[in-house]
Amino acid sequence: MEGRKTNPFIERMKQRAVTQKNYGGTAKETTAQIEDAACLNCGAGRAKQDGLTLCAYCGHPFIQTTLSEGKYIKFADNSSK
Amino acid sequence: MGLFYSGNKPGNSGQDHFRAELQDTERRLEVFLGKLDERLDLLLSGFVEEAPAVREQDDRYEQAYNRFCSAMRGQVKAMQKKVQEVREQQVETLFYAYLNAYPIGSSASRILGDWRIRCIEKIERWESELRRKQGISLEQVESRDYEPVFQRMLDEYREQCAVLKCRQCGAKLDITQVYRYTVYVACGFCQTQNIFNPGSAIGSLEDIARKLAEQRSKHILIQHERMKTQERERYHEMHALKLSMGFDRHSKDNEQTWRLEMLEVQWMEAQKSAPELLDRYYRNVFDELTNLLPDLKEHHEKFYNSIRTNYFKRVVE
Repeated sequence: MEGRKTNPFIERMKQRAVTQKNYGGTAKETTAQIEDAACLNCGAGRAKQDGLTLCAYCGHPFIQTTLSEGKYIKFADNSSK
Repeated sequence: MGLFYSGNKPGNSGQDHFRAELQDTERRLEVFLGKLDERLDLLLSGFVEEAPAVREQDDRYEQAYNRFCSAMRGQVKAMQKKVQEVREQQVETLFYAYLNAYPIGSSASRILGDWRIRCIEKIERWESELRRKQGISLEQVESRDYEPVFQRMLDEYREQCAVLKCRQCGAKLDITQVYRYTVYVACGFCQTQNIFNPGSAIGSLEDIARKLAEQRSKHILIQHERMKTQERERYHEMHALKLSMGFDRHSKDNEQTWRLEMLEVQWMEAQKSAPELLDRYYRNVFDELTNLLPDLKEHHEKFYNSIRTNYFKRVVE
């Protein structure tokens, strides 16, 4: 008997499980963070009450298309020209 | 693995040789199953010993740990396959080799039939024991207290949210809700739509919450399992008693009749309460889940209803 030493077969099994690479690479860890979609033209922030499609300050279009009625984004979120 | 020593090839000269061959094969089968059992114990004890260390060093997704579990399952499956091969190549082959050698109803034919049943029962017993041992080992390794895990996740999330500021004006953002995906958060001062990404750790919060809810409701599941076992046991006791009583069971004042009635009451009680307990268990799991994640209440109710209609009814009926 080898005392409490691990069975070499189990050890091999463990090594293979630990060293095998994951399909699709290692998972990326991210913490909670804030981003924003500031206007590319003047740097102003985007506010919901001003409409989401155009910059409220300089009129730069954030989104070219007209937003349709959805669950989170509503028709009313289109900027008024 | 080469554990099953096949020895001489089957011949068909004389009754003595026939019996000796059957005995020899049965004995070898026993030795073979015994050796495999030793290997299984070695594998499972090694697995139980090493798995916590693998899990400890693993990342949040526990992929290495899952690979280690799969490796163990694969080894167990290989043993099962080996036993099935031995059954087909040694037991069944010998059985069919002698099947037409003796007339049906003769003592040799009966011996052959009994021998085959004995061998198959030995194999099946071994397999059910294998499944039991594997289940115990996995449960032993899997068991983990999810209360601190869940709490730690929430605390980390709140700590990370507490320092977030508006990208436009730098005001502190008030994020109290637990979001599990990217959302717009409006700044309270300048009304800028900030894009809030809650991070990767919180993505598995729902999964951990479910495990925690199941852990908190486990006592009901144990009661349900007990009732289910009781129902089966009483039924078999009743059956055995009825067979032993014969026509006596219609007589009124008999101790056995009284015992039969008592068993029937217990059996019906267990039959009634087992599904009720299962329903209570699921109700409790989803109530706990709603306590942990209140904003997902509607989703939890849908999940509970789908379990009731699709799964639960099938179990009960």
